[in-house]
Amino acid sequence: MAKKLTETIIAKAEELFDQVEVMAGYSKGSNPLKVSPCFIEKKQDLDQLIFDKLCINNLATYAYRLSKQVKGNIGMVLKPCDAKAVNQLISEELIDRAACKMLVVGCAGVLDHQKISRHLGGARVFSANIGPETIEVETAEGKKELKTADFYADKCHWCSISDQDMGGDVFVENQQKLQAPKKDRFEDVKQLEKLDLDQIEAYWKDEFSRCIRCYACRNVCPLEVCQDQCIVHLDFPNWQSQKVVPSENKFFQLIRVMHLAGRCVECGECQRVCPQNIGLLKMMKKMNQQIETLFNFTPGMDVEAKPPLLTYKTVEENIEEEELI
Amino acid sequence: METIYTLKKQDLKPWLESLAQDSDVYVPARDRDNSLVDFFNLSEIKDDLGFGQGQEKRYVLDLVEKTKRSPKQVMYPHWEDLLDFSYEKDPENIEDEKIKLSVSQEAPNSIIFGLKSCDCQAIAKMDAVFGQGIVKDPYYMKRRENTVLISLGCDTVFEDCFCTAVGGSPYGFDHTDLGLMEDGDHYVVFVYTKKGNALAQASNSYLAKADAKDGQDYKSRMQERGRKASEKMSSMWPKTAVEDMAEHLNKAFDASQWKKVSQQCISCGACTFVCPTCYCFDIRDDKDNRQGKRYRCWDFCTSYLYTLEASGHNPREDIQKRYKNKVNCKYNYNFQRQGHLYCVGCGRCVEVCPVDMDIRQIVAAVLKSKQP
Ligand code: SF4
Ligand code: SF4
Ligand code: SF4
Ligand code: SF4
Repeated sequence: MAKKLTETIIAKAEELFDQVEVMAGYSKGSNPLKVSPCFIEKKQDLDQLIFDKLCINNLATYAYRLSKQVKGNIGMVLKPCDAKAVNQLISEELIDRAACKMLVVGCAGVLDHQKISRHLGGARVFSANIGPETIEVETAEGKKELKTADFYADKCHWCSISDQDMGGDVFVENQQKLQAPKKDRFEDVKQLEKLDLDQIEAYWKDEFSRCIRCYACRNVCPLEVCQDQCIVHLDFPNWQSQKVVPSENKFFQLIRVMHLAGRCVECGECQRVCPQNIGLLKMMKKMNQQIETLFNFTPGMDVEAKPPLLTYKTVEENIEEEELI
Repeated sequence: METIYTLKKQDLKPWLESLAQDSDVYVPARDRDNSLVDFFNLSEIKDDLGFGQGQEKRYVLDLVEKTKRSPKQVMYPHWEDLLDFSYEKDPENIEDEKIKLSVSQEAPNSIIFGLKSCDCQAIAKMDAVFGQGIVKDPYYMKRRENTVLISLGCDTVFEDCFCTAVGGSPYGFDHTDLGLMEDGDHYVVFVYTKKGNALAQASNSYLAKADAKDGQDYKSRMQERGRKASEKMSSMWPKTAVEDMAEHLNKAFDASQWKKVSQQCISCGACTFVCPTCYCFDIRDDKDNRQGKRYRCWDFCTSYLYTLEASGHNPREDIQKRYKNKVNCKYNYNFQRQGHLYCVGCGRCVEVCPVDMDIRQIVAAVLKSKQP
């Protein structure tokens, strides 16, 4: 099945290729649980492309950079949820709609290799055989069979994007439909909010005591286009100390949350790439929840919409103004 | 001949705990709350640390997996204060302002237990960076002098291990103070240095001297074990390539391959911060009104800011130039400077990279493309 899908993607990419200078897609990874982003400049190299359940990366990460680098158009292989990030970039006028050719592939859900590795207690995987029902992995301790349904990326459990919605240039249908069991998007946020403030504080202190400030979370984010000029590195004024201590690490993360308010498309990349397994997405989701209630806005769904924090209204429907004294 | 001891497995815990009485003992352990394996200070997690599987404690000693981060931070912490400064006015003459400086540095006695051979090689490379030349780095050296290294030979080879390709081996004990080999219900302890010897002698209630005949037997078995583990390792490039690597990389400096292999890199610090041999740092001030601290913190060459000049010009503006520097630093520049590669093949960078950059494949690809 995956093979047929890949063939269709390659065929469609070939059709699209005359219009683009470079095509971003997925290729085989260095490890049985990973895929590797690739950038194709020659038509005959398109056969490197693959598409399977391991294609968790959001290639929109490269949209902004690529569009600055090349003179012509860029092409991208995107899952419907990845297309949200591209849409958001378009709506913020950070990239040009016409210069970005989107090849959107219908999605049956992707697997989170971090979850697999956690389940295996961190043991490395020598080989993996991934099916719709079961995953067979081999570690130092021998062969194990896992249930595929347990290892979908979080976002797949509450994905409600209908495949064709995303306004791509080409759409490749996937015969398999989304197989991830439905879950509540805010479950972990709710769990955390049940605790009292001291406990929440202690939870985040423990999480951020592990942060190594590698900035992978920031740099992988498709929307954090200002990473090379980030205020956390400024010398004058020295907003943020470079000392790696929990309070500073948390401060860095809060800057991210604020700068992504009304922009974050919850692609989960920041959490996926964190080498220290920090649960960053809870913060992002909480902010999005606020934005949804206050402004009735979901990032990435409409290229025409103005993100609420990039504009203003004289009267906000859901915000009570404090009386001026 | 060096002395060889044995240590019963059940004595490992009391031995380490006894060592922890006057040293910081770092042990590799898995934090079950988040599945991370890292070096932890034994006295900080002692009550929550299990020494075997099946114990319901938050941490469990893990002598098989590689730690996600390298042990370099024991001697070269992520950040450290270099000096305190304050501006002080003369009360008699307020025009006259002096800067007062003070330096205080802690360098506790430390023991790192359960090092892999690659990490040990890496520490020797760090020693060359900070401890050679006209100016030796006092901060690093003081900690290093107070640190004892206890290694454990590797029998499990992981998919991303490639120490043999860069001149190491799973039982390469050449830079350690004590080297351990797991053997049934005990460990065999090989002594390599004076520091190691002193530690072994002070541990005589736990370590038992092996007689000469057993010693010979242990030694040959260790060599055999090392050979076996090496055989399991994947070879990425011909062994001989190591010697000509620098030359090849020089020739390939302008190769078009660089763009292709590094285009996916997102310029983060993950690979640098987990690497046991990356040593670059930045120096910054945290100032609060009239006093502050000058400190250094790790820096990473894949960052845009690393080479950004005050004029605004950036000689390594594109990621391909930055990544090329990273590879050359490890496989070329430091080979010319120090005579050995600055990659020990631990594979950590391969494992953490968010976008699946594999330094082995990248070097192999560049080596293939000698022509620009
Ligand atoms: S990716 Fe994780 S460890 Fe790195 S800076 Fe972000 S939160 Fe910290
Ligand atoms: S903040 Fe994280 S989840 Fe949100 S868009 Fe950026 S990478 Fe994706
Ligand atoms: S190689 Fe990977 S880990 Fe290293 S800077 Fe690039 S993206 Fe980050
Ligand atoms: S470059 Fe990668 S493999 Fe080599 S020593 Fe550093 S982290 Fe290990």
